[in-house]
Amino acid sequence: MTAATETRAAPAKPKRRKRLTRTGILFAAPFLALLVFLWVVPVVNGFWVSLTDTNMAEGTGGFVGLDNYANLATDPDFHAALGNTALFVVLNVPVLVAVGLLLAMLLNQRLGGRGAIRAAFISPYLLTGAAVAIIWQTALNPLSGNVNQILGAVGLPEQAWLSTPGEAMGAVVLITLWWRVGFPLLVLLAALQDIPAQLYEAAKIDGANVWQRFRYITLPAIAPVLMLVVLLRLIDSFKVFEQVYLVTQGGPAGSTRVVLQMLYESGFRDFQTGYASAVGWALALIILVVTVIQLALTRRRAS
Amino acid sequence: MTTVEAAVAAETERPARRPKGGPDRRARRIATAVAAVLALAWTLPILWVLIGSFNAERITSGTGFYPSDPTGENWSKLVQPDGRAVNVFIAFFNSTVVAVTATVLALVVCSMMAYALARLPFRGSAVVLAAIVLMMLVPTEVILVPLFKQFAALGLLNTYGALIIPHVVSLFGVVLLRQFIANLPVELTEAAKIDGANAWQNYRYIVLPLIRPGLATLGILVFLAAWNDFLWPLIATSTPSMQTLPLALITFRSAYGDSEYGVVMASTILAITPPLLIFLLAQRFIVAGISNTGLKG
Repeated sequence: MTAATETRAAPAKPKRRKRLTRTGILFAAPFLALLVFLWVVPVVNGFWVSLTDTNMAEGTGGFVGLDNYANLATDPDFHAALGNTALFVVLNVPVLVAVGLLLAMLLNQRLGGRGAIRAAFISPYLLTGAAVAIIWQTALNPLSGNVNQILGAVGLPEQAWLSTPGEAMGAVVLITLWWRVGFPLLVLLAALQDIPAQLYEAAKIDGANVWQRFRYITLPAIAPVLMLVVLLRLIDSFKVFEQVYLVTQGGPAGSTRVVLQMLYESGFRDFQTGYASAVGWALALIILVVTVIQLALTRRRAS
Repeated sequence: MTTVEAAVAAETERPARRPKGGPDRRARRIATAVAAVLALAWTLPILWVLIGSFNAERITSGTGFYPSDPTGENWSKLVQPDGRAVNVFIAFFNSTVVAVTATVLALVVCSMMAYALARLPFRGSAVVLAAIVLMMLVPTEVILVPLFKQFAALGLLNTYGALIIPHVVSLFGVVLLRQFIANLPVELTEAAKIDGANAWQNYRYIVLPLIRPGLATLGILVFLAAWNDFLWPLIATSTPSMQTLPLALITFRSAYGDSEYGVVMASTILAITPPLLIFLLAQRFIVAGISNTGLKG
């Protein structure tokens, strides 16, 4: 519909630019409309609701200021959920990044069938959390699960993985490792492949051993990407929900109940909408603070 | 499972490459062996569920390393879901409708936005782009509750609309496609303009065909996200007939997990097959997509 203006563009330059702008807005309109509906309004609205005592079951909804946040600060439920989430983050991020890096370095060698091997490590990344939960409950079943059968066969004690308070979180971390390792693996593999092979050859000639080559060539070269992977895993780990909720339901004895499970239950089971929104914003704030700290550390390391 | 077969095939048919020094070659063999064993271990849990779906044993989640009493009964029960709480095939249909529609819409909406940002700057478009990048940092969980209220107010709960719409806007997708379009030589679109093509024709016939790799990457990421999503469908639907596969699997597990675990395993295999198939067909784009997600942050 703008064909006419485009073809006789020469005489009216300013008009054409205006027309261009309008065309741009037309192209952007569907996305912008959805963006406002799905992001802008809910973000503003969600923050407002977190300042009210909205309860969808009781129909209340008065402004209470920061009361919800004050309550969170003293809520033992929230403290427990936050503690469990922090434990998950502290265990999950190093394990996932370290194993991801080791696998990436392994796959960076000249291997036979590398494509197929890579596919095997990535394929769990494509599965829904519900399937992951069923797959691992099957494997970790204390009576008939294959993991215990393997342990028994090699003479190790069989475990009630998911029903022992100390072990359930460990099991969740290992399940997450299996499920999500494809991400750090792929990103770090791409970074490793960018390192020129001559660097290693030269270091070898100079007599550098495997560790020295890793410490002084590999690590500095992939440091920026590594930091980014750590950051993304940190953010993601704070938002852990599916694999915990579906495998352990937060048990045993609440030992794996995480912040998002608390948000889901208070918001959509108990209908404390205001309180649940405050939980969401508190989590967002924590993630933001951790992100800023991590970025600051990265920058200081870099300079 | 297929990946394992592929691994084995690739392993056996690979001819020895150019001869190398002895120790180097041995190191490479050892590395390959280690990697192959690990890769096999990584696929085992999926394999166990596949085996379990052919196992007649009624013990709770009894699997074993091979079907001790092989049967197709679990699968035929899945095909004839008389009187079950959830029909897995309805869930399969729902998931397909949701994931395919979301993918198509996301590709159209995001590529149009990316085209506007890259080639038709409007007043404030730079601010919009910055805002999109910033919004990528906001955890979606913050908007879960208000989003639910909005969909409820519009009467959209328990509809395909509620399941599809949140997946149509991909912040990452716009950033990715904008980069693809910005990298195209300006001469191409200028030449088309001189030949009388308007902005829409330029977008449709010049730009879209040239950014196919980017579209493939985004399309697969959106499809997987929509197909695998759990929390939002859990919140946005309450009737069994609107359940997507992940929800149906969980409903299935709680209803039949004690008595007919084989059927649960068969339905799990059904649910994970499409993403794995897509992966095998389009590995290149998935690898590119995941690597890009990491680098774009």
